[in-house]
Amino acid sequence: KEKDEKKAVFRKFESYKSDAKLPKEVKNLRNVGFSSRQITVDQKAESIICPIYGLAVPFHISTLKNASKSDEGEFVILRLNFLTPGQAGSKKEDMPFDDINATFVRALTYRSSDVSRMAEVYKNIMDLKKNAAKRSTDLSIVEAERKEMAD
Amino acid sequence: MGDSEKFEYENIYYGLEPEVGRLRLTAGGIGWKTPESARQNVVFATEFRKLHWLRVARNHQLRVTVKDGGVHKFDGFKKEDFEDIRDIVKTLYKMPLEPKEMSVKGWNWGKTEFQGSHLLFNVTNREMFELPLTQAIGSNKPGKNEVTINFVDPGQPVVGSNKDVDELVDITFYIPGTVPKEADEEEGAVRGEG
Repeated sequence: KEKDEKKAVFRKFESYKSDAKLPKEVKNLRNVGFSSRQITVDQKAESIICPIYGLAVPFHISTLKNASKSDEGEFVILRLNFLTPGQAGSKKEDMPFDDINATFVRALTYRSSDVSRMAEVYKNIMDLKKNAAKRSTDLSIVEAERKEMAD
Repeated sequence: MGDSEKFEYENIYYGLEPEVGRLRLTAGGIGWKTPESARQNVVFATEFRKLHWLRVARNHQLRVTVKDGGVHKFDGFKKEDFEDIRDIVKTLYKMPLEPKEMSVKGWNWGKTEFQGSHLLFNVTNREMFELPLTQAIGSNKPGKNEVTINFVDPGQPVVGSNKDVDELVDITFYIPGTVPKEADEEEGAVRGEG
């Protein structure tokens, strides 16, 4: 059916193949790896590693809807909003999930008193998002061209 | 086998404690103690139900689930410690050390499950993270099908202010299912916000 064809295709993605592939813990963000208590951006795996009660939890950039940063007194608040069903204004192709009846993590809010480090984390997240969006557009163009040629 | 046998590991964390201590495994159980502040914890072998080995933020973890459902976590082991600890717990407690694979797919959809006072988030049957609900300070419903759990009051100062720590203030889940399925399929996107 025509209608079905318009449905978003779940393009499978994976941050890491196994937990052994997670970067090693390091003390500082600027080294390669992550800190157990800090948000870290792994450019290579296109993922944001979030500290959640002792675990290093990756979220692939494809799941991120947007991020925002705000100053509140001596703190920086970083909010990560993730793509879920039921979001107003989200395009169909913006739905990279294979199960709409699952439970979704929709948002995480962190606070930190390290203003400059959080600014860097935020910038890295936005860069990652921009690059991922660009790549996805390139892919769509390639697919559209291929389809045109097939027709 | 002598009951006096003991095995020790240095630089091990207990739970979310910031300090490292020495872990000691004996036939009687597992003990942990910091060198200076003398913080300590003992789990008796008679209470053991399951022993797991998993990758965590602070390297690898020996996780002890006890009979009342409580969980004790010892972090900071090296990957290579696995075989030694597996043999030690086999000798001392006649129990297997079960490796537990965590989900590192990076997906934000899965299933939640309550286990004791923890809320687990599982992705394709593997744990992705868990939230200790005893640490929660509140919860609310910011929108239809949404639940937020608050862990930190953003207005409050950090306890022992530390620049190295990014604190999880809150987490919001989107839980479909209370909206009729047909509406979901007809409209494509249900307006859950606003």
